Amino acid sequence: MSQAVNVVGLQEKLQALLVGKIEGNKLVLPAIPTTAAKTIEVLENSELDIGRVTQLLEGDPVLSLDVLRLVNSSAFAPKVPIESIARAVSMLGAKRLRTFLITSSARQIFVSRIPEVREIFSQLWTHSVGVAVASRQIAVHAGFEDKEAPYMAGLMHDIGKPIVGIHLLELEKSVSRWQQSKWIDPAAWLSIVEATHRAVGIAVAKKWKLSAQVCDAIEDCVEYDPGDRLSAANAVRFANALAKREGVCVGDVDMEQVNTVLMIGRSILGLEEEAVDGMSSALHEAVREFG
Amino acid sequence: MTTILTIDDARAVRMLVRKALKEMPFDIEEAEDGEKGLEKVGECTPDLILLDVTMPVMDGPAMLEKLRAQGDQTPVILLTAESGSAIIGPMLQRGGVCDYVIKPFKPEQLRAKVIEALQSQGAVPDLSAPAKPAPDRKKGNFQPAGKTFVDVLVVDDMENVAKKFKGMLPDHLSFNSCIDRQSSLSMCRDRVYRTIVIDTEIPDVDSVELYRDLRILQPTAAFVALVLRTTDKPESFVEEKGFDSFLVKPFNAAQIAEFLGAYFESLDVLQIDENVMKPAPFAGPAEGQEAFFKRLGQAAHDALDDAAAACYEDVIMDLDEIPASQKLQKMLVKLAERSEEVGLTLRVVANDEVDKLLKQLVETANIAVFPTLGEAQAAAK
Repeated sequence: MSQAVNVVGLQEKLQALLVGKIEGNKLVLPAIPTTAAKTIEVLENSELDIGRVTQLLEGDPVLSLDVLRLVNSSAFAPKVPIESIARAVSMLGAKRLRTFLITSSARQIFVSRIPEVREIFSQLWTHSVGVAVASRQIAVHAGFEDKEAPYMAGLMHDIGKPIVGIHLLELEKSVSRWQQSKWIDPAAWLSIVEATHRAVGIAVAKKWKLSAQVCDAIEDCVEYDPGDRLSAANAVRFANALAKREGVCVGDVDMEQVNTVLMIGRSILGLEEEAVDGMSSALHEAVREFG
Repeated sequence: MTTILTIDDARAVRMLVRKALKEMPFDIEEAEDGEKGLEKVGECTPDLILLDVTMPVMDGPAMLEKLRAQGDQTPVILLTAESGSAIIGPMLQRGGVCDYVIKPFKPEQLRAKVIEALQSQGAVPDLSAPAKPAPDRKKGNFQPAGKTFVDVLVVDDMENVAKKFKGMLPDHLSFNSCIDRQSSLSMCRDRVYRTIVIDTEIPDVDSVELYRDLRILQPTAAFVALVLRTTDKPESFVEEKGFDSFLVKPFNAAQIAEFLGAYFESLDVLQIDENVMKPAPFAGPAEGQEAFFKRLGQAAHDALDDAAAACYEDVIMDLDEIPASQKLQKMLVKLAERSEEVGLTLRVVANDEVDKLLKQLVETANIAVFPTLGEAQAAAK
């Protein structure tokens, strides 16, 4: 009994400390890795300089392999395998390459060596990829001008979660007087993450110079904005619910809530049922390939 | 007659509902709040209720609760500007609301939801009643989802390209064209295409990105890149970008014939009904005739193999609509050979001119020619 009270107290204390750090801008936020940051700079400052971009990417073997993996995936479906970075760069173009570099940078945030969170982070990443792909499909079906913003918003909508998660673990260690360093209940852990991640996610999106649409999508993933129907945030709201319906998510799902969000979203975004079926398939395909 | 009750405090909305459904065989009843709505339900026993959420006197949630408490299970579609899940959610979950339409709405969206709701309740109205023109199969078939099926879409900023393309297609193929990205996306949202031809040099348009977006909207279509003669290695371009094939501008009849062969051959060149084969008449420009007979010959060759595999002893080639020509003669020589190889007797339905043509050659002289299909079938028995 007393242990249960202590856990609840610990949860509240952790949450308060975390909120204090976020509000005081004392949380160290991750930066975009060097190669990706330099390449993005080149892409933003001039016409696509394939030679320069290729040179930068080739300096990072992991990133190079990821680029090749992307252009050889079913999303591009080349009839002959693409083996050179220069060809991959030319095929992607500046806009998609930038999206890829941010995707790649975001992915690293979801990777952890800590056993307690490794699996959850991996599932969160899978969920984010699924939401990103579905958001892009929504943008195409609903007639959005910009298709990359919904993708990016989908990818980043949970970016605060792993950051908060790691800080939470560190805080727990520092405040817990238990020598065994007992982890709080996973459900309580998720509940604190859920309550605090959005502010961190927005701060990361701003630091990475992502658009206001991305911040909006991070801020609220449930309630639609009927005044701006074709917004990236609305696409992410629908895609987030779709991913949950399809089981591509972390934690418990309130299926009634999910179905409500999907029904409202279908009308707001003007989506037909068969289009939604196509999105579900694309979501699962993306999860298999990139998750 | 199916009755629909619209409950909304805004008269303008009730009028819009009427207007949206006016061509459907429905009686439309109206009420301006939940209380009056309940009275109307008692009077007209509607098949479907379109219910607003925020209304004076009695709002949508309260009315729905009372309606269900009375044991009335009339299907309800929420028609509202409210999108908050905390308000809508309980109505969907506990009130048995079957669908949701946000205001302002498109008339076609409302119509589709109304029909879907009525059909799912088994209260299917006779939708053939309104005087809408029957689908013109020459212009396009109608898919089950209500979308028109079209054979070819050409996306090219130069209008002359589409004009020329259309002129080289057989008349029976349906055709659409557009000159920019937005129109192509819009058309692909509204229709189902069999083939989509995309110019790769539209100013200010990334054709590959456009291709990918259209592919999302049209997952079953074949995509053909339209490239310039100066394009370096178009084969590589097609392979890398994921297009199914390419055409080179300016294209000629032979290229179009190849395009037709690749995407329309089996469906359009030869109709097969058990052991009877009937070629479609050639409708394109004269330069395409050779390619047409090549495709026809291949399709007939395959059909002969299928007939043999199905244990038929004879096949009938109905050439009633095909005029005599050297190309036809040449094709029949090959088919006579193949028939013999697979153990089939080939009979032909044709006019005297074709008969004479066949008698000229040793390979086809023994083919039995009949003036009508009935006579050929009788002889086969």
